[in-house]
Amino acid sequence: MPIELAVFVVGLAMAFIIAMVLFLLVYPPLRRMFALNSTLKNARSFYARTFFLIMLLAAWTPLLEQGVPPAPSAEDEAQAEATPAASESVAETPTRAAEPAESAESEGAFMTAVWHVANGLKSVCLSVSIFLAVYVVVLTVLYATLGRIRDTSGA
Amino acid sequence: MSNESYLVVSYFAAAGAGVLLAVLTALFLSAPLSKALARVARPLGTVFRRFLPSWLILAVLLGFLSVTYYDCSHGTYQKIVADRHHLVQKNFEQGAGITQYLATALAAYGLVLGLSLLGGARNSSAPDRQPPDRAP
Repeated sequence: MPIELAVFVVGLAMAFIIAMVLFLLVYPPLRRMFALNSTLKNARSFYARTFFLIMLLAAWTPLLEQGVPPAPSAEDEAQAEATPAASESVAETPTRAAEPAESAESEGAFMTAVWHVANGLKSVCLSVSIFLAVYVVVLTVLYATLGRIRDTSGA
Repeated sequence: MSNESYLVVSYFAAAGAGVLLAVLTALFLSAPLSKALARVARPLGTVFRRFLPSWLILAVLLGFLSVTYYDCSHGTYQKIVADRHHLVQKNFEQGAGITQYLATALAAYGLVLGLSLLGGARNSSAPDRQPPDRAP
């Protein structure tokens, strides 16, 4: 698997974990809230599934918008090879100059990948926060309208 | 695969995947939705059940169609087709539009469903009023 695709899949997996954690945190009180009367109790499953779907879609949206990180072009690679030689000062020891360029490149690739995922997760947090706020408004409306109703049959 | 072939295939594949996602979401929610609508009068409940797939598919198509391939540096069809990275990026943007509109549609549907449940609960809690035609 190319590194760019692996970075994208890691981002998707982390967003899924964020959505799942949020769902697990919110579901127990949601369950108690939906036990107020039989109307809400019937709708519990629908709203729980909807909540999870919304969180998951909200988490994946920014990552999809960001896309796969572009693979380094031949120009970038040539520049990366040329830069250490150009910045090499006279004071540097020959052993340092002889360090393999491959290890430096792999470290750079790793941190670039981490920054790409971190940048995506920043957008994920924003998107999830917005949709969470919207869903809290929906739940508030539900509670305000249906929470006052008491079952006449005692069910 | 040439860029032009990729453009055609990916465009229709993205649209198909979006519609499939909407249908799967509607199927995933159909059983709990029927349970939630058990106390709502039958005509309204039926409308809600049939409304969900259409609503989700329309939202997905809206998200998909909201992405345009033209931008400042890609003003002509030839420039668009020549840039493979641009085509891939637009596919991801279509996916993002689909998921975003789908999430928004689900939240809106949940809100409207809550209002319909309120109507059903009021009908069933009033002792002298019964829904005109209750679901079996």
